[in-house]
Amino acid sequence: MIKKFLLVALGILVFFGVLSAVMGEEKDICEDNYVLLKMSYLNGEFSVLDKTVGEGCAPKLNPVSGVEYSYDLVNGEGILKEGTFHPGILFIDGLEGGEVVEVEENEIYLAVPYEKEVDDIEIYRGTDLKLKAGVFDVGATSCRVK
Amino acid sequence: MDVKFVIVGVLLLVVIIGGFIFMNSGVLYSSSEETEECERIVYNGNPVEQINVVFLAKGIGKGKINDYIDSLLSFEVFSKSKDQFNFFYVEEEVECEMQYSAILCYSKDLIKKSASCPNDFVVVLKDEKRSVRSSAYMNVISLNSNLPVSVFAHEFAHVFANLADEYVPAKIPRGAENCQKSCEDFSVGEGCFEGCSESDFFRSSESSIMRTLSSNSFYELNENIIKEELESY
Repeated sequence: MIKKFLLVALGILVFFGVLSAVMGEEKDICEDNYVLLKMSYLNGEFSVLDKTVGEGCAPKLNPVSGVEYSYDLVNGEGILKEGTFHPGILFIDGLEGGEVVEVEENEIYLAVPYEKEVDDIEIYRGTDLKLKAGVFDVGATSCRVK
Repeated sequence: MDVKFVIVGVLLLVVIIGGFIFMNSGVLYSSSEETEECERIVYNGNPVEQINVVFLAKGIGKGKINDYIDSLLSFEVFSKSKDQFNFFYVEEEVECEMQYSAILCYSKDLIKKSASCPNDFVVVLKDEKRSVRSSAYMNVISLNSNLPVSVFAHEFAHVFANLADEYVPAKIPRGAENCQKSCEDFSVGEGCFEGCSESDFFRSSESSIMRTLSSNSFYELNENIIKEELESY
């Protein structure tokens, strides 16, 4: 009799163990933090206006070939991650055709993974470095943690 | 059989069935103070390895979202790679602005709301008059839900693979490979037709989805460009 109860109890424990492991794995993915960089884009020049740490997922950085601007997350040892973006192009499409608008000035937002080994973000147009800024110095006065 | 053992066995069964239903309920991530509830619409694997598209809409309905997903995956190049995609849904109102007769929903608030789900690409659906156009900016696609659902594939190709519009007039984004200055520049010999964003550029197919929303194909050259991006994930 005791053996049967022990078996049942063991079964319940195993089940909850597997369940919490699976749920934990899924939840972890969006329980990360990200750094949201608010930036000014003006005629090809960038400046960081604000940075906040948010709870949730950052988009995966996956460079698209040929895109005008790229950004690298770097530290002293080199590039850790890289992505691309088009802050100067707005695509518009409708029933009667569309157009492409050149955006000369805008506030843009880059959400990047919060990873402490990263020191800086570097933005390039081709090989031309447009901006280098430390963005992960969370705790500095310029960083507003929400 | 011992009655106590039967009772415990039944309880265990209830826990297992309850747990199974809970795990398959579609709610992937619960909300916290900062994040919204994220629901999975199509889930093919760990978001770290997948291409994750999150829809944000209020009052549009999951049926309509599924129409957009079905439309995108009806294109052969995406259909063949459908297992690479996850689609998520956040039921939240998003503020959009009107620019050039199009909705543009790109904002800090949107970026924060979309962070509730894996969000490599963000799609906002809004119920607008049919004259209102859709847009794509950075990794955000803003769609008027009263336009043909194929507009999603067109906008997605802009942000996912840097494809240019193949109608005229438009502007060719730097690095776009589907519009070329001469027919010899095409890597595939599918065809060569005058007019691709600009009147003196050429496209490789007569009427791909990048030229007209009534098309049901990207055709070979565009498919190859998209495949390259798919393979990079």
